[in-house]
Amino acid sequence: MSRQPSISADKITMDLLPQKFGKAGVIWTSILIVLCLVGLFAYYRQLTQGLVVTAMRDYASWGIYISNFVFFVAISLVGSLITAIFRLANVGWRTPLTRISEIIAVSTILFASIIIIVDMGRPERFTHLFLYSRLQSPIMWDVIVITTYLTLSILFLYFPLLRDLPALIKNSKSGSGLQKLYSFLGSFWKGTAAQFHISEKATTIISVMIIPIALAIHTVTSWLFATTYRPGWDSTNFGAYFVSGAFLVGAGGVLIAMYVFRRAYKLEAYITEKHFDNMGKIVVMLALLYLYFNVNEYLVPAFKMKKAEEHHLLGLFTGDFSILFWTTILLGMILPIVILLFPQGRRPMPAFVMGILVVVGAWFKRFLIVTPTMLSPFLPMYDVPESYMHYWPTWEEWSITIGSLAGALLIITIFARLFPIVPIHETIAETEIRKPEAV
Amino acid sequence: MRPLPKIIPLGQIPRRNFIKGALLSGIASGCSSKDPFTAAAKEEAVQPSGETVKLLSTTGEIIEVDKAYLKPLEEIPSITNVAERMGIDGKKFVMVIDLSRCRNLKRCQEACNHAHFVSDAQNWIKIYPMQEAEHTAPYWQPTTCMHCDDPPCVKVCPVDATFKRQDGIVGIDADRCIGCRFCMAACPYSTRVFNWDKPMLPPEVMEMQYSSETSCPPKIGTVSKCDFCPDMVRKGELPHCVSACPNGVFFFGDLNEDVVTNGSETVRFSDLIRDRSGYRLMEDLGTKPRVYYLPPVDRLFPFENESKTPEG
Amino acid sequence: MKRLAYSSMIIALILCTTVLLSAQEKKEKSTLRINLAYHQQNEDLPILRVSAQTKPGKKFEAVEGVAINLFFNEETAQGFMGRATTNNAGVGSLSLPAKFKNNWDSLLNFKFIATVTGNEDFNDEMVEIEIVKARIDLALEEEDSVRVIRAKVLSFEDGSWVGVPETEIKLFVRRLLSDLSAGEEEFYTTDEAGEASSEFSLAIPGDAYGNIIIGAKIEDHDLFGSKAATKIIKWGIPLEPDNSFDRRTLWATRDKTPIWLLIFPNLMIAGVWGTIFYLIYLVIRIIKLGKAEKSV
Repeated sequence: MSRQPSISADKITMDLLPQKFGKAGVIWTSILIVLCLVGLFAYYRQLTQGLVVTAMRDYASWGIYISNFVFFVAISLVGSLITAIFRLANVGWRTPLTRISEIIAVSTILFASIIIIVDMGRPERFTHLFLYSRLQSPIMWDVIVITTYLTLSILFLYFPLLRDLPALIKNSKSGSGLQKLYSFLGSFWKGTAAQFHISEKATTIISVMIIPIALAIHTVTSWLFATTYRPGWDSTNFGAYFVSGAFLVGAGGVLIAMYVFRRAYKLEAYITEKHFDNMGKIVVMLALLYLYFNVNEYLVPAFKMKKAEEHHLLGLFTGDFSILFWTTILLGMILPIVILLFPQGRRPMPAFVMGILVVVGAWFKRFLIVTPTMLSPFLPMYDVPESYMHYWPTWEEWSITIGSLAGALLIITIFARLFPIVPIHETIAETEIRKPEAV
Repeated sequence: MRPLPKIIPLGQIPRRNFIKGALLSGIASGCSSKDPFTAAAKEEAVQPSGETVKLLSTTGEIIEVDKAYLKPLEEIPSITNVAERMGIDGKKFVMVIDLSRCRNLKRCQEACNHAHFVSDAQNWIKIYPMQEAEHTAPYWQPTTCMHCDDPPCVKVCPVDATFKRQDGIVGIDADRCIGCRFCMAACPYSTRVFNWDKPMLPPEVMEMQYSSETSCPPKIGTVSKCDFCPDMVRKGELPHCVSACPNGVFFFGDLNEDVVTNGSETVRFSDLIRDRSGYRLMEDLGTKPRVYYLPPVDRLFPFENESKTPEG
Repeated sequence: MKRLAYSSMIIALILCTTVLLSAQEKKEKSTLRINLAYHQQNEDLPILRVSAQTKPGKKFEAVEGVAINLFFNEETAQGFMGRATTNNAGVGSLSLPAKFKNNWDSLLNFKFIATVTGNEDFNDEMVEIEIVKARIDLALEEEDSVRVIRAKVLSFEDGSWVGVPETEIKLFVRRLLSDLSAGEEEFYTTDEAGEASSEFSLAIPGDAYGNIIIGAKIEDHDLFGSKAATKIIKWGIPLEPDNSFDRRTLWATRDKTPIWLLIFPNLMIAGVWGTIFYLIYLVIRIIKLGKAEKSV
């Protein structure tokens, strides 16, 4: 379990430098591109024909675009969790995970803003949000915090990346486009003490600042729901509920990414079983926390069974959504808790599977937060065609949603192709400091 | 069809006099040159053009008349978006729906749909079969937009596309709306509909300039709902649903004047609400609706589903 | 060649016309019911209201877009007043054109004719009404804090205005969209002198000064048509101005955002974005340091 003390700085650099796609990499990237193109085609149809191509109607006026948006916002919290919180808490083993989580944060928050434009009936009027912005609306608050979080996350990705750029410039083909990109991004990084000092200062500032901003995007996103009267959304608990769910899905996402990058880039020496073990424990803690909020969200209103809530809750517990609801709770929360409690369960492979369960469960959890509530209005659903009373997405909606998920993965993939996914400089520095000791 | 003077009470007919009254009670919205009332007040006698047109008389003779007299009356000039957003000064529109008279004939809905080019699936007016509990009496409950005084939909709009006017009406500017549908999620009365598809409209309607007072023409990718027909009120006429109801279920009027009318009856609003125990929907939410209901007591008709709509 | 084209065009034209004609012949025109009513308020120019209805099934339905010709006294070019087109409620109206004013002033009895001719869908139709000139004198009196509305219906007979007894008259307060009965009764019947009166005891809101419009009217009278007389008087309760619309609230427009909602978010935005710009400045400092290093 200990890192070989004999490992040299050169070896680390060579190990961690971005590598060309292998066969699997090419296939993976091609699939993602195809999925994106299908999504784009579906969006073209939506643009030309209107939102009528979706299954959304006057009762279910928000659908999987919104739940997917919430999912993206949620998973993006991981950037601040691993990088900022672990950094401030001085968690030593975080180094190989920081860049992974930060690129997940950047790509998902970017697609969160894209998917929200996809949901708009009049995307060409996007500028109205700035021309006529109205601070009373929680949507404006969301626009503001998401823009802020995106900017901060990019900076948070960039500052530590600077230190790796000299190695990248040195090891790329001179005169190639790639080298030009690296030079553009960081030819000025000379690694002087003054530069280090500034960079260190900047990273600390961001670490502190990104935590409240990250909490704000989840809280404000939850307010898009909690500021309405609707059953299932009308909760003062919603901010905390969303934040805890976001922590969980983010941590699950990191488990998946750790496993994939470890396999694809042969990083076993850097992303060790110890990392899976630690992350597994964190996922258990976060899943328990999220489960706690879920019990609050469902048990308390179910105990009272107010008339307005009744249709919504029964739909989840025993009605149309019950299979999905219980599957999500069992597979997305309880099973990962049980499995990851055991040391064997925290080994890379099972931890990876639990990560997938957590993330997929989280996606459907967002669906269950949005759709059943929309279909539980105060006045009964009436005087509309039968199709208005149900919601199941059309192929266009699925394609756009899957395309957006593929797009986020594509950004991560391309980033990993261009930049070291495990920070080179920091790893070397840490190895030198703790040479004899085990992690 | 009822005789006309009952639908639009006599005396309201000459618009100029209506205007005098309106001006007098400090109503007419800030006498700008764009003001429809003053513009209409300037309505002058037709000047003969000199050109003549042949007209057939009922006895078969040909009459030559001046062309100028064939021109239809001048339309009320459209008012500006800014004026529409402000609403009519000094007015507080209010509606009273008498549940004891409703028998689900849906004339209100038909008239509303016809006037606003609403598709059948997206009625602005819905007539719900309501039954509070198993052993309580069923009744028909027509709903329009409640035009709340603390409107949750307006609160959440990020771009001022839906707005509260000083006359109490909650309007929608379809040229501003970005289609985020937050207002639909916020409305507890499920009164808002969205133009998912390109609205099916006659070509002449499609070319019209959008007015938030008529909500026409509806536009794809934007939200629509009941607008309380301020265009009709400006003409001194009642909203389409009110005049269409043969049972006089809907009363409409100005709270500041303390009078509502359903076309044939004109009553004091305060008396009506006091004597008939008027109430508003979902009072506990604090939305302060401008639509009041009279409870379905002493009903004129038994509860039967006369329009053969499946109950939901 | 040219000739052939020409003749074929003619043939086509003839064919078209026959088809059109036969189509027209087949189409059966329906019958309209036209209603013509005379309205006059105070001494204003009278207004003629027409309505068009048809009975396709069991019920009468309003017909939109029918052009109805209106004539004064005679169906001639001199008598032609204009044309009123019905709206979607089947109603159209026309006020008496100014050129007929002198004529109308000098007459005591007159006739109005409404015709529909040459309509594609409906048979020709004619309706006429005869009107006898009448007047309503309205007096609003206050004695010992008792307010009384007095109305007198008069018609011109033998060179002088005389009261018309046994006429139903409404005394009302004008409101935006309708008239509210001003007295206890909905109708009052004029006495021998042609007078009717009622006490006015309504506590009803007026404008900001308490002004209201009180009137008396006869409706759809066989001889007089519809006539109304109105007066403005300070018998209402002054309306308190309501400024709630101008308040800064959560539902107000963007220019009326609550102050706290302007201060706190903007403070936060300024603080956070100030720091972000500082971070960008730090990047620039790193760049400058790097450049300086290079030149050394």
